Amino acid sequence: MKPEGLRRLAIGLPLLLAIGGLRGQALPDSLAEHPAGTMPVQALGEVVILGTAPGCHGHADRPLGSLDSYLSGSNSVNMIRRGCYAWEPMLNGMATERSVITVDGMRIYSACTDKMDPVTSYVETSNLSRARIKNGASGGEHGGTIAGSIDLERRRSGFGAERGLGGSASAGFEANNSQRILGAALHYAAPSSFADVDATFRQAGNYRAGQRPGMRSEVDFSQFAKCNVSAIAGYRPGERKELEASVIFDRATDVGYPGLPMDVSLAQALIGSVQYRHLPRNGPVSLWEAKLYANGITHVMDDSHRPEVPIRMDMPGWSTTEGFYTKLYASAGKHAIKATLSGHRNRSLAEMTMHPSDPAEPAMFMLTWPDVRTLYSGLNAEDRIRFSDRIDLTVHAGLGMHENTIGSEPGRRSLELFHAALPASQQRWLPSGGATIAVHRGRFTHRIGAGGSQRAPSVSEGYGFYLLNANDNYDYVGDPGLRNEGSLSAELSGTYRHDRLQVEWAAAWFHVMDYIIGKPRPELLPMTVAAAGVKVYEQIPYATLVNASLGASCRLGEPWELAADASWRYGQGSDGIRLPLIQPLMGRARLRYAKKRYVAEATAEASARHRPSVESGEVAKPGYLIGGLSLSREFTWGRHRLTANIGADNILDQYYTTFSDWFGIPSMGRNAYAHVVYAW
Amino acid sequence: MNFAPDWEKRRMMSKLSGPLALLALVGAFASCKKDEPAGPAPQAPADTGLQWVQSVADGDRTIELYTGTGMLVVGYNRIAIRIKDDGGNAVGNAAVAWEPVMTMDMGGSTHQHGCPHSAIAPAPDDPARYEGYVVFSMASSSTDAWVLDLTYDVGSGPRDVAVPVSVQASDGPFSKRFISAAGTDGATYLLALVEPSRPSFGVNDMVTALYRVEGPMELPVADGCTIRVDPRMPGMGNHSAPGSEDLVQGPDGFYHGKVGFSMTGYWKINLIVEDGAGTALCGEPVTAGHEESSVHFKVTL
Repeated sequence: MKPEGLRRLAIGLPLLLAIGGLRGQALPDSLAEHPAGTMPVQALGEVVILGTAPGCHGHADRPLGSLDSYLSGSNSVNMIRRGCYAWEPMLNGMATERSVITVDGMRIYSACTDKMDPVTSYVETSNLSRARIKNGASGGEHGGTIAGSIDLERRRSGFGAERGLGGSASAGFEANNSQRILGAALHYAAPSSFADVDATFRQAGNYRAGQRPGMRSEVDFSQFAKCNVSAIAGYRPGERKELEASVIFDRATDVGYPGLPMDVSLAQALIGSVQYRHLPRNGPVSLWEAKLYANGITHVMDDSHRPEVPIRMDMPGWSTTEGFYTKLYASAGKHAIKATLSGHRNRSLAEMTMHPSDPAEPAMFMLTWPDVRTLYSGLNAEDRIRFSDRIDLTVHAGLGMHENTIGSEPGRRSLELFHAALPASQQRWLPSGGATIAVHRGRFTHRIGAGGSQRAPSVSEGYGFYLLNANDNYDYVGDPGLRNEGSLSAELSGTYRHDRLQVEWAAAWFHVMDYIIGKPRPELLPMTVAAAGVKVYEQIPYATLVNASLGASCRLGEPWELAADASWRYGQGSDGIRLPLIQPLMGRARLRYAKKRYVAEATAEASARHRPSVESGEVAKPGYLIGGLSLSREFTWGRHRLTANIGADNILDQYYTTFSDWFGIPSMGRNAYAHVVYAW
Repeated sequence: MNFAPDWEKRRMMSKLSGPLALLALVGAFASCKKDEPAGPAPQAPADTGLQWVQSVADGDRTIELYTGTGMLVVGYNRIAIRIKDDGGNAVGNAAVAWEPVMTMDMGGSTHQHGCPHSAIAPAPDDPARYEGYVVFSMASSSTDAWVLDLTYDVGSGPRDVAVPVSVQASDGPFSKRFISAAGTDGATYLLALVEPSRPSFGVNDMVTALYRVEGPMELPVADGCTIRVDPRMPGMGNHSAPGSEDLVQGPDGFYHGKVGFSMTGYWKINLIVEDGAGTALCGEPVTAGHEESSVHFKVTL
């Protein structure tokens, strides 16, 4: 059978099966009024609550904090910082090529070749309610992944028992970089409809690093401005049927990246979806959800504000994605099943125009992403089997079909400079599977899991053309002939709960086979002026990654609570080379005082010295210890509520650089902030 | 919803800009031509992509010259000729020979020399189209004139026609398709870029003609050499591109290999000509302190 036919079959067959399976369902009455967030299938992984959900308050987290700052609170996530904006989330010590980041299950592909616009940069905490993190192979619901997945769930007020209108207005100021935050939201809820609209604006100047005697602390080109508007509306066309439409528009302008030689004049996303949900009253199926979505991203890199560059260049990139998923939750006997069929296609195009200093000389143009088309469809299922109150087993399996095609003939010919006789398209199958068993014994819960998964090379790994990595100063070139990268992983975790004490520990081991990494080719000369050389993506036999974390929290007696956690990662390639961007031992501690309407918190964060990956151009970063304080107070008058939050991060104004600060840029110095949220 | 609306437009633009620029260039040169007889251009041979250069009358016959661009330039020129009788019919299977001759006015005295050229013969697909190539080594000027001495016999005995031709310069700040270089062996070498005639992204087939000057009219092909290729972009840190292969002589006498271009713009193709023993005859390697070989072509994508 020709590949085209195979592809149609791969997409069509599961769809037919899924539709056929649904038709066969009986739909009479039963309960199972689960919103998607509290489905019976328990997520493997963790949930990060984002922001202060309307109507619930009680923690001192700054309500207008960025998504990036919320995500970095998770032990599984590190943020790569190239500036003050658009941090790249690393999951389990692996960057975004190895994870799948979705917004309400929607795939979005970044449009920047230099990773300046991770998916997380196109949403706001005001759009989102929580981030659901899954580790390793269990994160394969929407695509092949090694590290796992992060799904950012949209915030929706949902249908209400009574008709009601609410709203909020918020304002914030952060002194370090003069960040101004303004936000407003409106919520409408009724028994058969709801709507939420929100808008957030942020504008910030350059940030300052911690003080060092005799040194200037302002970090040039670290400003940003962002505007985000989102709307979501739901309607019940009938009992137990729900329709929902959602749109997010995000536009960042004048974003500086001190860790890179270029800035961004525009990063814009339009993300839209329509969704249908059916909640059968009876029968094994408790929820069926289907979604169609599309999103488009325009990203324009520009260096016009940099005083000195070897050559002026414009680097725009575009990414458009259309996709669907349909999933159902069912339970029968001991089984609680979730099955997802998803598919999407993406076009990624990026180009580079360089303007020589001699105006008579013609401009130079090349394609850095040669209009790469990705087509993916996959089927994924998860079954949680409760053998008893003390033992449950979760098994999951999935299979995806992934195809890449080069849409641009000049782009294909350009890549042939490195790889002779390139095929026009490349097809691959991405299987995944795994199981986790949980044993509850008294105060202990033990979990042991194992899994395996494969992923396809990312657009840059497969098709990137002279992409500068500022961290190691090499031009990177993709290889369309890369094989799948595969992973075998094992996870051991546990919880101990006793009275006021809770202790959690987790350790995960990843054996990543055919690990994709750029390797220098001394015979090739770089394109970028002053770059050290060219690296071409290759595969080493395997790499080993280990993640370990330990956390404890203790209620010391009202109103005090103490929590601390520590985490450590390890990463080494089979060629003996240390992997880049591996977190050293880090610890965090938090002392919290919560009484009536006051919450006060003192935090500390410390890191051991970073062991650098010299091969990746890293230099050792010394350890550091920083502390922060915050205080919040809630005021209420009738149904009006005002929350005020003040605080300071890095209160001693320490100068420090973390292992994930790109190009060794310093982290932010002391930052005093005040956030106010008024809601009714 | 209209996502990424610029997308298609940009793709179209990038597709169009190459041919458009070329057309503009051709137009600019064409408008410079002056000493052509007025009158409508004859119909070019169909499906050849040829453009008319000029016509010369010889009694009641007309000789027509064609090239791919409608002009003659310094360097390699593939030329087609048609001989039309008084009825306007192209005559086939004639015996044709040619000899390009340059006459230079040296301020009282004159000096004559030739330039490398092939034989001229009927095209395989059209016996009434005679094809060959000429590598003009300099441009015409008010004091220096090229004449194509044409001899043909359509069956009624050989006839000689002197066809004065105007050869335009092909050198520019971002274009150079012909090189005359002094060799380390004391001889002068001539190099002409044959292909790529339309350079594009990626790996291009590269063909170069190489001659050794042995006298004003003795310009034989230099055999058994190797030409090393190193494409560079002087406008951007003099960076290189992979994909090039050194040129070696083929059965046609030309030197064949590959040259790689990673982007559009102005490329300098640096060359080193080595003899059969590997000794450099002309050209030097590009290094940090030596940004170009003295032997190089210039092309613009």
